[in-house]
Amino acid sequence: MTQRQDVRLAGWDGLTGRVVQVVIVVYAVAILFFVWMTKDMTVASLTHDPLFAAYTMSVLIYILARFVVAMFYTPVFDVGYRPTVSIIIPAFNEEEGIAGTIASCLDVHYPRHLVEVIVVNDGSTDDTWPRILEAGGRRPRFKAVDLGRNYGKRGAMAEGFRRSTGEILVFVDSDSYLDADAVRAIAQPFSDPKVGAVVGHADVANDLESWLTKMQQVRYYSAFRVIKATESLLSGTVTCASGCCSAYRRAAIEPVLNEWEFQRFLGRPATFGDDRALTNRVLKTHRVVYQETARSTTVVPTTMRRFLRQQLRWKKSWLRESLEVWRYFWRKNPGAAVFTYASIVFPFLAPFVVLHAVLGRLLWGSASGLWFYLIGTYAMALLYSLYYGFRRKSGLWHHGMTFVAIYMAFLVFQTYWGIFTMRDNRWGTRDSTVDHAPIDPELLTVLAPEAA
Amino acid sequence: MGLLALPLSMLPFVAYFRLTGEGALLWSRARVAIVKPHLPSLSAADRRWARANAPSYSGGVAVLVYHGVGSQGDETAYSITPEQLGSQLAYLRAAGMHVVTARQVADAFRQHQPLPSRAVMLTFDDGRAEAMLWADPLLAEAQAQATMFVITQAAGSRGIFYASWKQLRQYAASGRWDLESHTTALHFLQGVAGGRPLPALASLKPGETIGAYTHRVQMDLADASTELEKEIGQRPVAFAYPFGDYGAERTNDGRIQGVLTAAVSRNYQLAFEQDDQLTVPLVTCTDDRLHLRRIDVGHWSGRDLLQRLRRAAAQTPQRPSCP
Repeated sequence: MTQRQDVRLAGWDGLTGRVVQVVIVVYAVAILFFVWMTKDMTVASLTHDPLFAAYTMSVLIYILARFVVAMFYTPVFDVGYRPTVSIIIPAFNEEEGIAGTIASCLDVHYPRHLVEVIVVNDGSTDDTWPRILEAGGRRPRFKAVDLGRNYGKRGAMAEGFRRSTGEILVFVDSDSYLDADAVRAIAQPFSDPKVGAVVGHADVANDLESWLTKMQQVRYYSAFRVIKATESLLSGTVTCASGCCSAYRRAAIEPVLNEWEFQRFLGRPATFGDDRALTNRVLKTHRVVYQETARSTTVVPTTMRRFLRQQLRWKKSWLRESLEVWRYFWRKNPGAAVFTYASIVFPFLAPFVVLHAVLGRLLWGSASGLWFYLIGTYAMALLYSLYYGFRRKSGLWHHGMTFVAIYMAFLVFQTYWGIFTMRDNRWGTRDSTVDHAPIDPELLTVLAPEAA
Repeated sequence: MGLLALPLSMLPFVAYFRLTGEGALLWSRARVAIVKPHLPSLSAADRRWARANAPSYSGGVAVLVYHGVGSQGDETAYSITPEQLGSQLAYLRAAGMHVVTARQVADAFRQHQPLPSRAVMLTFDDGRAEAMLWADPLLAEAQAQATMFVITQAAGSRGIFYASWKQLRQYAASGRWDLESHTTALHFLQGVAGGRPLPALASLKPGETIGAYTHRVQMDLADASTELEKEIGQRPVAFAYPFGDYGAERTNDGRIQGVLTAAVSRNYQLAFEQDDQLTVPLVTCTDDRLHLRRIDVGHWSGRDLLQRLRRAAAQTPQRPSCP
């Protein structure tokens, strides 16, 4: 699990890797040169097509600036900091993967007496609970909590938190796997008392399964190594510490836990987007940083339908939390504020720009604007993908372009679709409907072999 | 597959550069930016040939017309390659030809001053960005000037096929370009009553009276002059008829030629066309200055051009009255 699958099976090693890296750099420079050559074409169209041209220019600058800033990112090295850690795994109908997740958590390279693993079964209707007991066995510092009914992920996470003792809480999704060194790495940034949360790096566990998962692997890489790295570098302003592999300081979430557990939005319980919501609360008082060396893998959707549902869910939680982000982010690092406000505004304009470029030209003649738009988008998609090829020396690189294509065709429109369907808070990939009830102690079972 | 994807990923760019006008221009820009075009260096034998075959005349000027330089695709018929232009300029220089602009010729004619011997005028129609992009560094190296007939509305419009006013101002400031008029917006073929489309400058629109036509043309030409003066700072003195049509042949009203000539004469001292390429003599001071003839330059080498100029000089009757 430590060795990334794509590097093992689709990677370029040794001399090939070096040569390909050089080729990629030359290629990228050539693309940027042509982008530079088009500058007055874009400037000239500013006066005729202000929205279109201003958007094009700003997005271009935004993307390139993110990549440039991300180049300066470095992870926090092992400073010997060893706080007590509780790894909390909420599980709902995860009979397939839960044993592997637990095993990866029990095997972390961290002083044994400083780490505990807590698995919370959120009223699974399958064999998750027996699997939890099997996997945990009578291991010391392992707790299994059965909630007795389904409360939703937030309830399960919060209960795990209440059952924990660690100074640092590592939340792991039940379909994610930690690398052996992940806990040690994720603890290091907490040596700075200003840091309230740390997000690790996630790769796709089933990356070689299909084009859809390959595409997500490339997407994950830049979402973490470019976007989160940039935010992290700008005074620790990561806006989403992803559920698959994040750590929080107990003192940072204690005051916000209750409000977060029972968060309501538009008169309904806020179910998904637990990760972004928690990050958002911590970020108001603390720094949230990205730690590249804390590695994990996570299983991603394998069908288009599930992928789009997941993306819509993320989009909705992004919309909900952006309302809050909008209110306080100007007080943060100015660079981070510019990036974040831009990243909130762009998705609202993007669908109009796509429609303007594609439909507008088809309806009103001249196709030249369309070709310019398409080739420009393609160039950006290519740069984005080449970045992955360069960093990872991986043959999966070109799937990044598939991601951009799907983004332009579907995901761009999810911003508004998400607004229209905001009140539909069903999970989408799991058939769980939750009501945010407080945990009922009557139904609760706690198995802590160590105590027994 | 990952490695193969690298070259494959270039295909959309190749398609864009080859199949779209914008892409082709972008490709030209990149080429000019990386390797500036140069005049070919002529061998001693080439130079001897140029001197031996140099046309010898004075009192007249050979007027050449170009449209595109370096264009690809559909435009190649109206375009020569940068290499051909380079060769032509190199041979003109080796043959000791003197390059003049429309403004210099207008001044000489008006003031009854002599033209330099072996005078050649290079004119370009339309104000195309790509032509200027390629021609400008070649002109600079040849220490030559060219006359560009600009469609003023196109210069102010979006898109990159035509040079923008900003670019035109830079070219004018270099001293290598004399910017003159090619109408404001009448460089297109219009639908007419009963028949094939005709040049907008030289035909009546369906239902248009000759009075309305006169007004339309006068307004257009006056606007072009005003616009050029406003943007470049110099009022144009010369005009080129779009498609070379001045109302003699491709027209639908017999009165048009007279009306158009009158309108042109109110705005310009010289006007150029390029009819009947079989015999095009030199332009001299006794010619009809509103119907001056130009040699349409094809895909010629420098030697081809010199031979064509010799023929033009031979076809020009002696004009002892010219200074």
